[in-house]
Amino acid sequence: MEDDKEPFSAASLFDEENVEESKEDPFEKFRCELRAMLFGFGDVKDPHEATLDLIYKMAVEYITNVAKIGQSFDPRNKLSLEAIYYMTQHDPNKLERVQELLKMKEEIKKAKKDFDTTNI
Amino acid sequence: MNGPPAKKAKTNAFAAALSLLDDPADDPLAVSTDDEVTQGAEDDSILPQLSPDIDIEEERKEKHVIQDGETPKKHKVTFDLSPEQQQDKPGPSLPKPKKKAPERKEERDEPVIEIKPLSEEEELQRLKTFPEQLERYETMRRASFPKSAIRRLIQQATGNTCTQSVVIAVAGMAKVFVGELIEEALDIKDSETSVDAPLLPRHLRLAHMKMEEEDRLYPARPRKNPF
Repeated sequence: MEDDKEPFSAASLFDEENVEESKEDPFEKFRCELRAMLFGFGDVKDPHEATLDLIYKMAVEYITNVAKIGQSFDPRNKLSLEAIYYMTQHDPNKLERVQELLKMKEEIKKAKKDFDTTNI
Repeated sequence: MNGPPAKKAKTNAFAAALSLLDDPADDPLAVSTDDEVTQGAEDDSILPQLSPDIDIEEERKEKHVIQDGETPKKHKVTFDLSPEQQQDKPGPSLPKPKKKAPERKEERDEPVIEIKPLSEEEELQRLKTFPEQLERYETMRRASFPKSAIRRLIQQATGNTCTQSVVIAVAGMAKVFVGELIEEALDIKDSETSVDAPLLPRHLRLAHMKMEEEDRLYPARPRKNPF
């Protein structure tokens, strides 16, 4: 997110707190979203902490594997979109989800642009 | 463009225009397509207004549903074409499915009982009777991994930055993966203990092992040679 890349402004008490929090903040949020997913996919309202820990580890391991395997397809060792298409070609669920998300991203971008130009 | 409402009007107008290409024999029925079109637009207001995000996603899912199977239609209009034929026609998007009147359907399809494809509106109507399930569904739709965390993970793994599209794609893949894993684990749990029991790490590990055997675990691992 762009918020993470803001340059440091004049020092103040609040800034220091934010700097320390932002190091763990994305992963705190990650865990919260994972807890929401556990409930959303069918678990009880208050899942066990051990379950959450385990699935957090599994998710992190999965994303890391996707990055590592996808990176090996590129000579410059970068994870590209083509690598993702290649990796998910045999898994129709994931492939369709990726295509849907990218299509929606384009539509949202277009809608935002139209909104901005018409509302000046 | 004004967003979804203008889009709906556009597709409805296009649908109405398409219906004018029908056979003259269908003329008396073709008139009612306009009614159907306006009724469809009104029906959409019944959808629960959960949040703007969900509305856009619902629309997206509706269009997705259309492409999957036959759309339930009242009568023989061009919309009855199979998905392949429909894609051949030039046009921006497919028309949305309308709620069909049951009497008309029975008149025409008496010998054959058609399987109704899932329609988003009907699913939501059904969900409204179970508020807990609706809450669960809403949570499931809203949950998404934070892009900053995923970008950080990818950078840690590759040592290189990646584009925003890649981050979005990986977030979607991870959510689907987590969903598959949790579903498998829930199936295992249901077969062992009661449905209302909480999910234990043991179930997750068993599900993980099962998925590993079926090769669904990692992307693009070479298939295990059966020989």
